[in-house]
Amino acid sequence: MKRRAFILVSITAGTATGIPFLYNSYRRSVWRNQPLIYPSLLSSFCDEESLRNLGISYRKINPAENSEKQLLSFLIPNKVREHSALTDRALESHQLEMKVQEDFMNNKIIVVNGWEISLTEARQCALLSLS
Amino acid sequence: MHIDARFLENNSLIEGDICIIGAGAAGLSIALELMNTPYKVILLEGGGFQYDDRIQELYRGKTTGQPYYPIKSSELHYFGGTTGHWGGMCSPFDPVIFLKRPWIAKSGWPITREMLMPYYDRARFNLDIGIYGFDLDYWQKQDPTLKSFPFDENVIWTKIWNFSPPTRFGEKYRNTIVNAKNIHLYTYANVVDITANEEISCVNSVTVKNYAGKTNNVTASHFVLACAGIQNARVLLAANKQSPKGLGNDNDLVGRYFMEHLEIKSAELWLKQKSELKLYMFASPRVQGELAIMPQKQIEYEILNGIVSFTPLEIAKKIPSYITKWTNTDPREDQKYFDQATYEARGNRIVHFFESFKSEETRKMHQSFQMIMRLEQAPNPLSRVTLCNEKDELGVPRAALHWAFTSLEKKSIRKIYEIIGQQAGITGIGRVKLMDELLDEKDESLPVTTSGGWHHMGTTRMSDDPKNGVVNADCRIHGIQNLYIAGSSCFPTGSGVNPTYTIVALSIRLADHLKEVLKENKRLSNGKK
Repeated sequence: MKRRAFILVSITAGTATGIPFLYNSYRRSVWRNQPLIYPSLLSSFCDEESLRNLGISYRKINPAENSEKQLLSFLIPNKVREHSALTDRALESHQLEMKVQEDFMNNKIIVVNGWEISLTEARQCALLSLS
Repeated sequence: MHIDARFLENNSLIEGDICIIGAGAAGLSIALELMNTPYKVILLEGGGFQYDDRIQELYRGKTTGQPYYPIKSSELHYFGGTTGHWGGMCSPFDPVIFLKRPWIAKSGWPITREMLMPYYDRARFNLDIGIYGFDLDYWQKQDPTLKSFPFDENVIWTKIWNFSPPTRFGEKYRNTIVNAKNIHLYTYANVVDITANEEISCVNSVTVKNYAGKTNNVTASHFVLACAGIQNARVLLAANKQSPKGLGNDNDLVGRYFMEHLEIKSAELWLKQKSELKLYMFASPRVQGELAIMPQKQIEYEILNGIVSFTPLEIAKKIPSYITKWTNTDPREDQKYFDQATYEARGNRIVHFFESFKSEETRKMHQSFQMIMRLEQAPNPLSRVTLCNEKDELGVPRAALHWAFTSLEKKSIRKIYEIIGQQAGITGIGRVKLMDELLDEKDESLPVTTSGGWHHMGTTRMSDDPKNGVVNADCRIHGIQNLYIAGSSCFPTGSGVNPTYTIVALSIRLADHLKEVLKENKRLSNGKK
């Protein structure tokens, strides 16, 4: 009996911890494959929750951008969005990184929750917080 | 020659050609320059050769305004002065500091950086710093792993600190001074009063006292007050029997414009890839870089001079801000506390089991760094040293310090981080995170954790115009022909870097001037004969 109980407890504990772990890993991999909601540089030291909080704060600062539609229109202008090349995640990611750099060069910088980030990054976080 | 003033006969008269009051970095640098000259130099030191808490007690005072260290423990009162516990950080003031900067009220020195350069060169020997100390290229050739940030050189540059061992003037120069034939060092000789002629245009004598109950007088043809930023003002203000407002204070400037050298943990740098930031760490025993803003950008953005240092965040978090913990009136206890805190933060580092497999080099890599701003304080007439009603045991009113800022300090801090944050973004190396206290743009106050570097400046500021300064470009008090001030109290503005190197350079310059003046006096008196 004791042995059976031990096995049951082990399986239950393993399932209880393993499933959320696997689910989170899956979510992370999905998230990372979506450049629009994945500010790549910020993600190297901010976890998803912090980025979501950044997004929530940005939407509070800019209520006019409190919708997915609005944010998307800033992140990817319509013409570009329609272009088939944007189905390529790597290219999309690269373009967003370029846009972030351009923001910094053109002083399109905003302080959100203390972070000095580009407008594009702020919008990516905002979009993430709505997802 | 050394004389312990406690064993002099009461009411003795001490005579010399020049009397230097104070044997710290400034006073000793002047004395060293006057060694082996035909002039009899009287060097007065209030304390002895060692720390003595009863002597230190003479420095006790009151503070108001922005929280500050106890005055008693912010300067050392014995032979060698505050070099007895300084950190040894040396770097020259940038040329922009000496300019009139219209956005900083009362800025502008009556001398240029170029004029001070020969004295900076000579000051290196007093402070035991090397000949290539401030040249980034030189250090990078010595060690190619000292990489600077890839920022736009028209915006940000890496300013180099050079570290004195640190030279303890009291230990290093004691025998030299004591054995010098023309230097007469009097210890336990605290100046309690200054007596001028009737017109108050020339100092005749100073009165010295000690706990042994001895009162003596010193006469000389020239006097130099070198008691550091707070005490210089205190001595002048307390010499009020002939000038009710204090000596040299006709324009109500003595004690005003007190400036510190701000040190604030104020932001974080998070890197995309872990780095050692070797150039910017205290890794090398003699050199360290800090980020500085190019002069043209300081002018464009109308900001103060500030520089930014880096400490791994995990270490910085364990070291409290100086202002919150340097609260003991005994400076030895304060020093002990911070030595221990730093040791625990850096020395007893807990290394994770897996981390221990990594190489030593990898373990030095960090992703996040605390950025510490060192900022000059804008001259502010409300930031000032005055006298208390309470007197010390020798009968001198104690100093009262009111420390206050303008709105420019916070504006400058925010702007400097904005500039660094922008460069970090353009180059893609990482991001800057500001501390909460900087977030409200409308709030001009600085956090209570704002520390000073124990650097007291501005209380006898230098200007060609007596209405704007206590001393002229030669550090002589306006209107008094033979009373000079040495040290950082003469600085009209501070800098992002520590003042000791500039104090010593300016003191050597003053010594050269005094030698010329004494030579001319001798020539004139020989001519009369």
